[in-house]
Amino acid sequence: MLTIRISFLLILFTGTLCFADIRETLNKFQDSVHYAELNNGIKIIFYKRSFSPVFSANISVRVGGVNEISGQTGISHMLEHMAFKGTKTLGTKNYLAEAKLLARLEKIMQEADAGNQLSVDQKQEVAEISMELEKYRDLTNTFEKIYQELGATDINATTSSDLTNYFVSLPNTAFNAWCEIESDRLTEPVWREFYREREVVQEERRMRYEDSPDGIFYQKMLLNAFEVHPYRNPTIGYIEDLRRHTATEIDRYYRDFYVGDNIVISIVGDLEFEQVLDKVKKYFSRISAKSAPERPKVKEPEQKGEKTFIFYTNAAPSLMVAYHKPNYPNPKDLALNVWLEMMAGNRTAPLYRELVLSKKIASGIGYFEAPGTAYPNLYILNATPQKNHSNKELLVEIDRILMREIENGVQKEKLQNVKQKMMVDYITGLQSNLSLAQQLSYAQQNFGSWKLAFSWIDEMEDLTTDKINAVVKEYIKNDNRVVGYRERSK
Amino acid sequence: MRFFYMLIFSLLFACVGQQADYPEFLRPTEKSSAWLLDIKNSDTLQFSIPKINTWETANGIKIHYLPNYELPVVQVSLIIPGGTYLSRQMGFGSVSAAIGALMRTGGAGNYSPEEFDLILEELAAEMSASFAAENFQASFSCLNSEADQVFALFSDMILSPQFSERRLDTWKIGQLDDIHRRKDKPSTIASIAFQQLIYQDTPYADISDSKSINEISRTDLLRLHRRFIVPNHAHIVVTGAIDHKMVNAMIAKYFSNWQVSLNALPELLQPHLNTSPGIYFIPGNYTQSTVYIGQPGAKRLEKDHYAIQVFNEIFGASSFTSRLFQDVRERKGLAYSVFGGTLVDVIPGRNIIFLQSRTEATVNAIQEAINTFKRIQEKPVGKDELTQVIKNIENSYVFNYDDTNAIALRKAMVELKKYPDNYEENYLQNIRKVSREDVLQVAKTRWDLNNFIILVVGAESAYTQLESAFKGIKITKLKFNEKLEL
Repeated sequence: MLTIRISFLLILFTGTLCFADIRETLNKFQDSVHYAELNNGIKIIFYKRSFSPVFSANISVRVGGVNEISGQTGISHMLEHMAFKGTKTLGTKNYLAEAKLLARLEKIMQEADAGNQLSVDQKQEVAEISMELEKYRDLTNTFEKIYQELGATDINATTSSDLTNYFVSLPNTAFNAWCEIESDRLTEPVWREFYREREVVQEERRMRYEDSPDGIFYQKMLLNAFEVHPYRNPTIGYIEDLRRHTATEIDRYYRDFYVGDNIVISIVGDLEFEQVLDKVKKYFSRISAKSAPERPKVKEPEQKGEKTFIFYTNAAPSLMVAYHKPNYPNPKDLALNVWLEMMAGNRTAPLYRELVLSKKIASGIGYFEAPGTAYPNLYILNATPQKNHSNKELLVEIDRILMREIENGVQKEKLQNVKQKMMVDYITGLQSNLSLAQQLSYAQQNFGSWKLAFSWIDEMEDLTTDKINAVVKEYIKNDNRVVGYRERSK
Repeated sequence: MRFFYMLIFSLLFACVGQQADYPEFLRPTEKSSAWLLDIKNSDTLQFSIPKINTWETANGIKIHYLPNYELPVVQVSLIIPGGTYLSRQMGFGSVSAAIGALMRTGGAGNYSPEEFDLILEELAAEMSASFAAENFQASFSCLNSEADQVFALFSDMILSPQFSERRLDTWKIGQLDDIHRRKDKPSTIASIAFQQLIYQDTPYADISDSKSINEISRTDLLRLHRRFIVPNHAHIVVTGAIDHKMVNAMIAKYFSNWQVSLNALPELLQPHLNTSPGIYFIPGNYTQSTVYIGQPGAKRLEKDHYAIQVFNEIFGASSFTSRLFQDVRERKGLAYSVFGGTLVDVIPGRNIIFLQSRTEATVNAIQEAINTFKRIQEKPVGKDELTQVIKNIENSYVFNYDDTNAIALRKAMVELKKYPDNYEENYLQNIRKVSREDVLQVAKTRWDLNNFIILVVGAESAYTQLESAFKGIKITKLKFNEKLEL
């Protein structure tokens, strides 16, 4: 123990130096980031990194599950899928001919309740139109094929509760091509193969939810935690809604939300800012300057008592405990994050140490933030009981440990360790071009400035034990939580 | 109201060809498609593979060093040949599954397990160890200011792990729980079952179960450690904000006394595989069927090694553009997740097609996937198709070299796995030589439709569909508990 004590003092000293190193590194990053805005509202963020002649680009659109109305869940994610289907010039041999067929198809689908009540004749007609449409599909010039030829990696997109992101990494010789392709995608998309892709998204839903005990459990947690806020709905949507989406609806949704004001483009790699700005202005200025709908001003009413639910399924038990909290940049969020990291974020954290290592009643315990970060949200503790132990027993122990820790208050040494670890993890993550591009656009979209991708470190340094203790007492209490039990069906 | 809306909508479409009547996405464009030709003529990237500083220590450890001062972090990896394949062949059973975790968590040097955990956290360092199929790998990352201290801890972990009994018990409990939860996910069941069906009773299908986990003792860990964790043919990769002098000093300080073993590891024996083709079914309460189709595949670095890479990209490995993706997902909407290819290995690998499709579409999806395979086996791939894939491999090759740590690790792995000299430098040249006939030969000689295993994990109604569609072919129902009960 003496060895540990001495080593701690050394660490405390070197830890202070470490903060300085990290601060200096992040200052250099911050000073090297370029930012500009186009007339149509698009924001551009650029960081030069010339280690390798490549770049990563992330286009972030401020639309997600949170923008969806009841009966239309999953439309943001569906739109993300459809954005890979090509444009009026990309992926088609004869767009005029194709458009006529798509119009006929859309008419039938609209008449038959999004295709869910097709008559025999209508089914026949849809099959014929689909076969005709195949003739006009240019499979040598699809979005993916062109990117493939250019040497793209990381081609993908994600939709969350708050944002939709489209990203790719390419050799720097393909920057012009990227501008052409992405600006075309954002101005002249075509929702071809819509009704087939609707089936694909339903398969995705089955994989992530219906056949995943973890997925359904998480969905139920959100439904219980949020009574009115759209955060209660799964981003992928409910299957009943997925079956009713139409191409016309997608088009309307796209025109409402895929506008300049809602878009942030972030690029990291071996390029020059002047070149980037020049090209982005040239290609992306034609994106609509229309104002985007405001984010919903929905306020989840304060929870006034503990909620509990039990979900029975054919899977091993699992426990989730969710606490409501304010979202970043409210400083209380960071305080809670750091505290939870101290409680469950590593092998020496009390929850892990006591429940997994010492008492052996849990096989794992961790925490995560959910479901989005643009509104007040949740921190969720997630634990799995060992075979001969129960969720209830686990919860009793978790409560005992958390109450003890709250009563004892945060220790300075531990706080120092966790702060340092979180900062080191963060800067290690900056090595990746794509990860950095995404961090920058995420901060810009959700918090109004890319600088918050770095400046949270200052808040971290200023965080004291007293501040954390006060916030923890305010939020880590039974009245503010939802407890979910997943139990094996009898 | 709905009728009114429909009326308005149908009027909008009544005058086809008139711009004002189309919803926006159906309106004609004034843009020409000439831009597509322009971007296809983008310059091809010319780049050279970064040079890595490599030298050998007196006790045979090869050091690969590549600095990068952008961030104040250091990453170090140690790789030693000899992994789970060999350890299972030598009768160590599931011990290789435990040893990495216990080296990290079981205490090391003069530190108890708790002290070791604590000091790593105080130094904000990450450290890990594990056995992979062919090698042992341990690594750490930390701030460069802590590199010396963390390197010392790293050498303790490698050279003097304590293998605490308490931590072994904890690890076992965690593993038993994981085994118990295997049945929660159809994809886990399918993956394990497929492995067992391909590799049968060889060490390569030796999946841990509660018996094999419970049998692991501290003595076993020490024995495996003594046998495998030796500097013979080891590689250490050091990257990040650290200079050459410091690297030399730390290696000398912490690893120069590491004794070479005089007891060489045996050669890896090649398995004699006796797979039984057919249709296999594992029932469960699911809305989707999880399907593996395949058979034993090829070994690494055989004469069609490069043709296999190209075949894989065209057939099923390239996520959005592969034939499997296009046929099963894009054209038919039958799956979200679908991929396939010939996975090469140091032993015969696996030919795989994987997909997940809604229960009622199980047979359609399987037939579509098999038809996709038949097409590539019956006819050479298109000239443009081949050109596009080769271009993709050429143009994306740079991404093997966009991260310092990945570059140096790759070099170490290429040497460790005994790839030919200048493998990386000659890779693209060899890929460019692959012809349409070469790709066809991969499909014809490496895959045999008559010897496929089709494994379906799905609902009972999927079984009924299979019976009806594959009349006359035996469908064997399997039981999965912790693994397949064969």
